[in-house]
Amino acid sequence: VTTTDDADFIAYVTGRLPALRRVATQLAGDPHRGDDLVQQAITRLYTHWRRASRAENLDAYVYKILLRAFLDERRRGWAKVRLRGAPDPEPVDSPVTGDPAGHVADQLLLREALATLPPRQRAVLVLRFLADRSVEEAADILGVGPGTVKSQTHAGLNALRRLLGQPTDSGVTS
Amino acid sequence: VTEILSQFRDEALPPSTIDIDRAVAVGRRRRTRTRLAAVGVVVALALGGAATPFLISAEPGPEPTPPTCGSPEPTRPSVPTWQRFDPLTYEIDASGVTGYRVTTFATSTSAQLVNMQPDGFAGNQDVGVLVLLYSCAGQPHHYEGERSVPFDPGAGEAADPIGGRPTYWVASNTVLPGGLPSEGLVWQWTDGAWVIVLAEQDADVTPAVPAALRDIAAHVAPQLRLGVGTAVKAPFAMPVPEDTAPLYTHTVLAEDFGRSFAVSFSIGFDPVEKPVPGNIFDAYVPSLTVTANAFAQADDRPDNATEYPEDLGHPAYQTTDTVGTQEVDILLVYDFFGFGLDIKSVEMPGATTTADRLRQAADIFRSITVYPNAATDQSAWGEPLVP
Repeated sequence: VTTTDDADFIAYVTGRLPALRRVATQLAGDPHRGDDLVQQAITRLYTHWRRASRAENLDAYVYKILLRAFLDERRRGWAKVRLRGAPDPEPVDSPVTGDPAGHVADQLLLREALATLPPRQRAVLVLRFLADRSVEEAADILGVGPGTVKSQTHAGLNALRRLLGQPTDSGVTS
Repeated sequence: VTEILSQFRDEALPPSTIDIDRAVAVGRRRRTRTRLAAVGVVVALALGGAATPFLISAEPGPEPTPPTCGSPEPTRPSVPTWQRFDPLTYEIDASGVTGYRVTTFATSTSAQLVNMQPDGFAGNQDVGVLVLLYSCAGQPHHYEGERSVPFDPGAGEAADPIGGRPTYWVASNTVLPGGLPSEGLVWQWTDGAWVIVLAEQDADVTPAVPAALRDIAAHVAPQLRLGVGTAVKAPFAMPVPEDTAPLYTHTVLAEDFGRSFAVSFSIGFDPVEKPVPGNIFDAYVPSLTVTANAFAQADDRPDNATEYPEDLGHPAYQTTDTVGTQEVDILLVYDFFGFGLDIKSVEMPGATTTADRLRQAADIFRSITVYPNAATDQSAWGEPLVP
């Protein structure tokens, strides 16, 4: 990596940092752990920068690295949770309201609910609705088929609705 | 729900704790480290890079009289004893190691090397595994400060036997240069010849846990097959340069989200009358090294490279580099059936000047045949040498 490459890398990362942080925050569940994920991801990105910078879709490449770091960390942590016996997620205390003024509270509730989803479901929802990735792009980033992304999206949204006390697609509430 | 999810786009986040300069510094160190562990100086001297000592060594001196070691003995006529390895034959088979994939193979007369990384999403991606297989003439070295010195591998703490042989833990931070936390196992894979399996961690990202590294080494070591005798394959074939013999080979593989592919292949030669080097990977430069890299492009050429004056049918450049006290002349050829090719020359028979060496390198270039589709399909690789 030459000095010119370094400058390109720094320019790219600086420009994409806000979006990467937002996605990582929702993946990790809090901004500090999200920043840790981004730090890992951009370090890996630097080691592959010469090649990555020639990728057709650099953003997708970077999301792949970020998702990889997230899923890897989840996998390591997940084993510990299972040893202790993970409880089934419970519905959160308050329902989501339609009041725009209450959207901050809604976001907090949604974040709590999001954190209870399995990592890949959470990743699908974050990629689709926060990172604005298409089904096909999300499938490529996660290394799965578009059908899997669609089914995970459906299952993830229904799980969130159940946790938030909203009607699901099939009209069932919990 | 989707509407609220999309509102996270406008969410105010606390001040960033991300340090881009640190990412650059750690990333650069990792790239250097990967090259170093993967390659040794001979190949790691990325153009313009500095020479760095490595650890594989054999006792210098005359060829010993075989056989004084090695039980069980090799079963192949081409390798009558384990005193030396054939550099065109792999003796480490890591294909049965679960959860890890090979990123580097290196062969030489005194030792062979394999690097591994966790496969796919599994495991800690900041951990690497290094296997060093010594011939009977090979002598394990470790680092005392900056110096690489021989050590007694059997002096460490006893571990569970592998293959029925006494096995020992290798102390952390001593076998590899660079100071990465590491833990490893060592045992005699055949009488008088050692093998080291080392798990190391990039602690810049994830704190190293010695017990976890030991677990990794203990997981990998029993799954290795040693002394297997598999032919080295290459993306190109070339005649052996006159009055030389092959000394080492080096293959780098990579994986990108599940797809494995070859990055580069190198082969080095020395004059037949030249003594077998004591330290093939320790600041030793073979007389001639040919490398084909599927990712090298003309834009990557070193700043001091100038156009090669003769038309070789492909973009060609020449440059020089210094390794230790040696000047290396280098011919670079790009867009060569999907490869960037470099031919490094030091003290070849019949070539005493830079002009001689570059002319000789150009002749060697013309004698090289790339296997069809070799740049994108490793299964298309074949024998590296033609009669």
